[in-house]
Amino acid sequence: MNRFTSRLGKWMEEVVKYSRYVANGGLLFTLYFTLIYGAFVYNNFLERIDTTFPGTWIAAAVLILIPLGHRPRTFIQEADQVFLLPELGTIRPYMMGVRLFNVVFATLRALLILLVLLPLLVRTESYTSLEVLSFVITMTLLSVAGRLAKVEGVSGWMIVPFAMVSGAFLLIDWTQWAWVPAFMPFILLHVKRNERIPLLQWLALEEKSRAQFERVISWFVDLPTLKEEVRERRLLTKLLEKRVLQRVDASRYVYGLRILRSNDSLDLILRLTAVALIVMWMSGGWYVGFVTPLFVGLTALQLVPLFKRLEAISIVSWLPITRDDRIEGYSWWAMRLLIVQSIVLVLASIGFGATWDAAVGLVLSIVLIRYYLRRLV
Amino acid sequence: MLHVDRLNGGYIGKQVLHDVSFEVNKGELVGLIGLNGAGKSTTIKHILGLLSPLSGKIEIDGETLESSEKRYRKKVSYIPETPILYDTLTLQEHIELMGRAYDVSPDELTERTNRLAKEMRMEKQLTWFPSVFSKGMRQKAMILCALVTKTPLLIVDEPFVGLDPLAIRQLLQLFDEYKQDCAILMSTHILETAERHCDRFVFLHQGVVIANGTAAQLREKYQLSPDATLDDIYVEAIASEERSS
Repeated sequence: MNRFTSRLGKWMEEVVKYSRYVANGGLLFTLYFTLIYGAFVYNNFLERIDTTFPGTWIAAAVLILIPLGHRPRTFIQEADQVFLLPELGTIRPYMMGVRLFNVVFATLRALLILLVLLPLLVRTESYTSLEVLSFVITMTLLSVAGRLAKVEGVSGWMIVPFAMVSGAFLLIDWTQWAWVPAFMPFILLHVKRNERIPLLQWLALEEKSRAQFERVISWFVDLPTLKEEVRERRLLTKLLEKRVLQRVDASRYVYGLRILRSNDSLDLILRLTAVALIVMWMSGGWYVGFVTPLFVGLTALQLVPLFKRLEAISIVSWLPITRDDRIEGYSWWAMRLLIVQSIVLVLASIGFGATWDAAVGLVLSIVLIRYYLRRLV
Repeated sequence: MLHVDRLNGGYIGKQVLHDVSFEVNKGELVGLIGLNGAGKSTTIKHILGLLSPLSGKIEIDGETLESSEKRYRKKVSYIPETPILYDTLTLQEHIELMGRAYDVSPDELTERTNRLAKEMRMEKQLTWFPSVFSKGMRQKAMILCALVTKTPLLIVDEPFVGLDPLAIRQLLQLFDEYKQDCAILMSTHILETAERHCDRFVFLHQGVVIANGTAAQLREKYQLSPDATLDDIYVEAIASEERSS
């Protein structure tokens, strides 16, 4: 067994192990519910739109975005910096394995997006089967090119101009030829391909990708070793510093800054709020008010394991800040953020047509916030 | 300042410390010396309240963890062997956190931060996030965070790891200043440096205190010549302990 297949085997074992945890977790049912609800809302939305809806523009925008944001896996480990050095020039099968693995994953990503996008296109455009096939191939090629670009050390933005040309082909009704510009980046990638493993670069890619995998798993089970991603957010910090941070105690100070800058807290709230707004926009009707507790509940559910993770990487264990202080500090922030999220969503739901259900949604959200924050203890 | 009295402790299912007793007085820098696995870090964890003792008593400036966890913790600051910093906080914000946790007034905190950062050549790094720090910078950041608190007791675990010679010299000067009104317990393997700067030594071996005193007292105890180094004393102490057991 070569090195790549043995590492792939270990990765699969890990995926199976975590799948069991995920399958046993309570969030899975919430996710099922959200997916079914999302599908129902999307179906309603598709029935309401007609050929005047700018489906091609949305498809073109997706084409431009699909090469970006990939986190390829390389299975390179820290110890490889020492133990793999003598073999670097000779392990071509490993590199081929990594490339193939990432091609498969990029294809899957494209297909998942197509699952949502194709019904919209079929509903709004009168595409022939050849054009649909060309669009599927274009999406897949651009997704694969974006992922392989990172593997070969080329910026994902280099693929964007080709994606823009493909998008333009869609807009000028040359859909059957859209795959041609999408194929071009592979010439660039072939020229720029790595002849030997760029160890440090692949290690960094692996760490980022692993962190993303663990972040998803951490929604379902506690992973205290998870690494945070930090954003400085200078303006927001300065604003908060003057109004809040200067007056709060040590635990509120430290959790305030950590929540503000960690990709797993403020970003999480923003991401879920944005998704909730899209769901509201697509749904309409009397049930729009219930989107608020659904998404506030999802956010609160994920903020609980985050606290445990923040606790695990912590110097406060030996500072004069007791665990009760820490829970209070974290709850203080979480409560305020979740209340703000609830108010924003309730106001949005009223804007999207909610009436009495907005009030019910708000009450349910507050009950959910209190329930989940009590689980911190 | 620190009184450890007949401390028995360790981890679940494994007792590491056996009747450990020693003191660290105000104005003293005491070296906690021992082989790998002797129980130095376990002793420190017990003093910091991160582990619960099986029996025995630990008192800092008249306070115990049982009497008031908060008051007890406010008496001690700690520099760990491996720096632990928040990726989401700049060095200045770490110091701000320490100030709030230990009730240091803002003016005093600013004055201490400016002085210490200058002495440790860390002024520029105050606004940096730890992710861009080198290993030595991370260690210096931990030291800075602990020193600004000016607690009655400072516990230091292997402080010289990762520091350059200039930084080690600077740190020892800072310790000399710090101990004037406080007490320092320092665990280290670098015996040559410890010999020059520690006032007293506590030798730990297999979780037991086998010797405790100044270099002169220890030389006398083990009947060594006056020019015997701490290295010689330590080797003799271990040999003597192993002979007698």
